Amino acid sequence: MNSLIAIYKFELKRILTPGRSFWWLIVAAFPVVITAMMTQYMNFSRSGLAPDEIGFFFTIAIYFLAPSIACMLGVLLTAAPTVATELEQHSWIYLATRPNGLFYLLVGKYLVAVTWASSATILGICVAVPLSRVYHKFDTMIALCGLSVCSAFAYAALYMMIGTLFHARAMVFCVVYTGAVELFLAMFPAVVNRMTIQFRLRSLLANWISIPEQFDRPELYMYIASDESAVLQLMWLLALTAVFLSVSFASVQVREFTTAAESEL
Amino acid sequence: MSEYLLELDQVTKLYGTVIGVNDFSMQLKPGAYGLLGPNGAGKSTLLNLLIGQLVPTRGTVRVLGENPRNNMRLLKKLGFCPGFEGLYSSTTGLDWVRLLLQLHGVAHSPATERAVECLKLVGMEHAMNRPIASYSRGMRQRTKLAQAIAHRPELLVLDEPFSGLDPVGRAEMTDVLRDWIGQGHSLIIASHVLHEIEALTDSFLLICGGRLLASGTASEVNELLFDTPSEIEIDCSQPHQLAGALMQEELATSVVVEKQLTGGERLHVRTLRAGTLCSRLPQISTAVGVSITRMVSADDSLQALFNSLLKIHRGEL
Repeated sequence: MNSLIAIYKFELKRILTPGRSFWWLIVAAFPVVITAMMTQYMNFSRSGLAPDEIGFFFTIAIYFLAPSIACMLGVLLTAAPTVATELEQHSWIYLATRPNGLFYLLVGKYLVAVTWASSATILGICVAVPLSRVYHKFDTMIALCGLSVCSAFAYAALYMMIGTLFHARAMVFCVVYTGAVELFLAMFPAVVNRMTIQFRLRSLLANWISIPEQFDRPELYMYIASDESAVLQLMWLLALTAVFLSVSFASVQVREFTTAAESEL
Repeated sequence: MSEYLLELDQVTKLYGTVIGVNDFSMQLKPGAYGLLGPNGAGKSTLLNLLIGQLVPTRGTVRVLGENPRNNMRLLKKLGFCPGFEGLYSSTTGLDWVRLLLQLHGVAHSPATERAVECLKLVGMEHAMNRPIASYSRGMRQRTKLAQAIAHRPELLVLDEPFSGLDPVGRAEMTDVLRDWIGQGHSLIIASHVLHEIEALTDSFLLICGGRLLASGTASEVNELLFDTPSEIEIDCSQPHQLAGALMQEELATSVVVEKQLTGGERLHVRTLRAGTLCSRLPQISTAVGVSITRMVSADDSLQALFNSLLKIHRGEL
């Protein structure tokens, strides 16, 4: 535990650079700016929508902007290059020659990625929701913040796994996977979308927010979200996260990451 | 517990089709050893096999009686200083050494005390609170050594630790390592510079092309090289007479006399029996009345030495 706390604090200190802080602000500002523009420029008076329907529309929009896109982007920037950066700057070997050093490195960086991305997203939500026309502001804010934390834990594990398996092109593989699986397949009306993080997050959203009566019919969204309990969705996310992290840990234990090959040949 | 520090049995490491280490077998008892070889000889591969970062394609590696791969217990007894830098530039030397100590399970305060102690030992007390980005190459080498010895390992494995150090830094680092050896700890130090290792230990492992070519003390290696082919340059008063005498005695396979810019003449001798030639040269020069003013090996580079050893190893000599 002492080792884990040490590496978490160390990595947190390293990530607090002006450059990284600027990106943190960008991630936080992203949902705020879009929501503010939507509130300002979209004319709902002629749409004939009821206030709770408009609120529902904003809730969905902020969900896609914050826990979905911003949080995903945040952990992509921090978790995906975990192995690649250590190998590129040759610092890997120092940690690899410590007892359980690589395990602590991965867990420490994982937790830092979750902290970094979820804090930025939560800040974004806390500013965006009051600016929006969301109907039950406080409840929605709590639900979206909860989703951000779930999103950060799950996506950080996913990107860490991809970054560990394909460290040479971690970012490329993460972006391709996100586009193909989490954005395309997750919207695909088939069983396969149930294996995605997006599907589980959407299902949690459906559980945690109040849906206007005219939309609250499972047959309407049965292919893009599940009407099963929130606990079950959380268990799914937990299981996916555990699998992703286990693959990452197993990968660094089994594979040979060293610069000797390049320097010797 | 094994009586051996290292045991390698027919270890081969392949990178695809390229051989990093080739059929390497040795047993070493605890002590200090210099791993000597030219660049690309396989030193770093061998060290990575010893610290468990690489898995041998064939054969077995045991360090302090244990398989080093993913061996948490063994990692506590190993200190490693790689040949490349790999230090976080924004971090201070103290933070870095402390973190690596904490990864050994040491609590924050004792880790800080020990990190300061080690950084002082390597002469970094004045700069340990500065970011590593501001360190010179030599300062980084010292910081790397500090992190390697901080957890008091039984075996210290160093890859080119003197690289980038100025003469004063080399002398100081040598003193630190001598103290380390003096305390009864074991050391494996890899270098391609002979005198760096000679200053620390008399036990050498000579490797080239991924093979162990020779091992032993400096005198044992010298004995091995006693009658190896080499080229010798001799400055003397009558080079033609000396060349003739050497050919007559069948000590030279070819001789060339060349004019020097300074006006003198220099004799280039190629021989298959350098040791015999050197031991008989005083007698021959006296007999033909030649006074020798200078005599050096024309191919005294380490690579030439290793090429000779490689030929002996292959049975070509």
